[in-house]
Amino acid sequence: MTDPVVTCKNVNIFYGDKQAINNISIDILPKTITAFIGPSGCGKSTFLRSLNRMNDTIDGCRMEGEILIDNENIYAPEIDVVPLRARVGMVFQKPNPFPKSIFDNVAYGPKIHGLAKSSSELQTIVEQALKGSGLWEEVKDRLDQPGTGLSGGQQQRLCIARTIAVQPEIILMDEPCSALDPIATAKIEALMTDLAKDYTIIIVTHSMQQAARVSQKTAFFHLGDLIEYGDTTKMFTNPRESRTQDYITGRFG
Amino acid sequence: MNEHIVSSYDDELNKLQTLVMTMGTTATEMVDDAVDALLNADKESAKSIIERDKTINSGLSKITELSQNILALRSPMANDLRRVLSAIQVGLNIERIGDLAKNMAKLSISNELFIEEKYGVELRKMGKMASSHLFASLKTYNQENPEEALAVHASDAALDELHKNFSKSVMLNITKDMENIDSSVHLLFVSRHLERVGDHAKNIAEATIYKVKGEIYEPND
Repeated sequence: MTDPVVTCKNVNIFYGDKQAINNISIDILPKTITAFIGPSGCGKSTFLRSLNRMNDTIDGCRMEGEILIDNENIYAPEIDVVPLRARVGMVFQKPNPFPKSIFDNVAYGPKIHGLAKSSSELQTIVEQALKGSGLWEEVKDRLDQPGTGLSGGQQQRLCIARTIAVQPEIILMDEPCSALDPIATAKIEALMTDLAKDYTIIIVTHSMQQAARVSQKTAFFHLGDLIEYGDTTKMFTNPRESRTQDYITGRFG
Repeated sequence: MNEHIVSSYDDELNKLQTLVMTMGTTATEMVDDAVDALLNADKESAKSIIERDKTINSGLSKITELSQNILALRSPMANDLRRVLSAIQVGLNIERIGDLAKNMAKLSISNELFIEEKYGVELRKMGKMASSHLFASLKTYNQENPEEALAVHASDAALDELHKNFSKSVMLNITKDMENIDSSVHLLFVSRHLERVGDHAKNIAEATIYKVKGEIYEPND
């Protein structure tokens, strides 16, 4: 059996007095796409953000329990969140390129993490990242143009290139296609499948069809609880829990 | 079962089930009537069976169209998906039963059959058994009762046995009664058709198990 890349043990997350995540334990398998689904406010994005300590930036947010990545507790005091967030990259709902050129958007991460020893090495990293995100052919002749000038779908792939340029192990995606049209969505979904050969991907999505199309594992969250976690095919054809069935079939919101 | 947030989705799924049950009720009556028409040499009744097969075919078209729309527009998941897929499965089986009843009716119209009394009794028994199995399997589908579906599935063995014994007896008789060989061959044909109705009822029972439990029932036989 494959060892998990992420192991969460009895995770509780609070915003002030309000508990958002209730005692969740889950193992995430490497080089697999795992979808987090559930109604708004169920805690899926909160839980996702806890996997690279993005919640640390929120005042009053407190976490209990353990989250291990490659058997290392990422909440241990000695952990530096900057390299952690390179190791566990994130793609957001709305594409957020820097107000810089396409090249600089991708080169920024490798530069600050010291991944390139020379400018030619940096160029190679940028090219590889843009190829990896399926954007190279569309932008190779205009790398000096602003990243913000690209279409929404291209901007999102630029953000994915920016993420993979720092050689992460895990990519977190928080509704990465919700602002995109169906064609751009299909390109991102195809890209996710390609990326899963090298990276572990965890995606939060409100689209049942997207979760069903792209993921191998699905976790259903409700009111801060992890209700069911298992193979995506099983979850969407014959889930174990009636609450999962009610949610995916549109019987409660 | 809880209702959908979008009530028109429930309406469509319920309509699908109603279409299946309407088609199934017609097919059950057709099987009964086909055996009666044959044994009573009632050509008018046989003609009405042939007419009713058109409503069966039209029922399947409606099921296909509604299922297509639900699949394309609602993207059903889990038990909803199984409701749609099982409706198509059951619809296809009922359509075949309609064809079998129609074939038996055609035989009643185009042939003057000589049916010995003992064979008439046996065919009536098989006809009743086939239609009751069909009725029972449709009931399990409608009431979503997989336990009862298993019982209906198992009961098909009795119909198979009747068919086997009937065929054996008719075959033996053919050698003794060459004059009525055509009738004997047709009786074998009818017996085989009734046995097939039982097989389709069994398939419907399997569809019930799939619909409710999400399991593909694979008996050992």
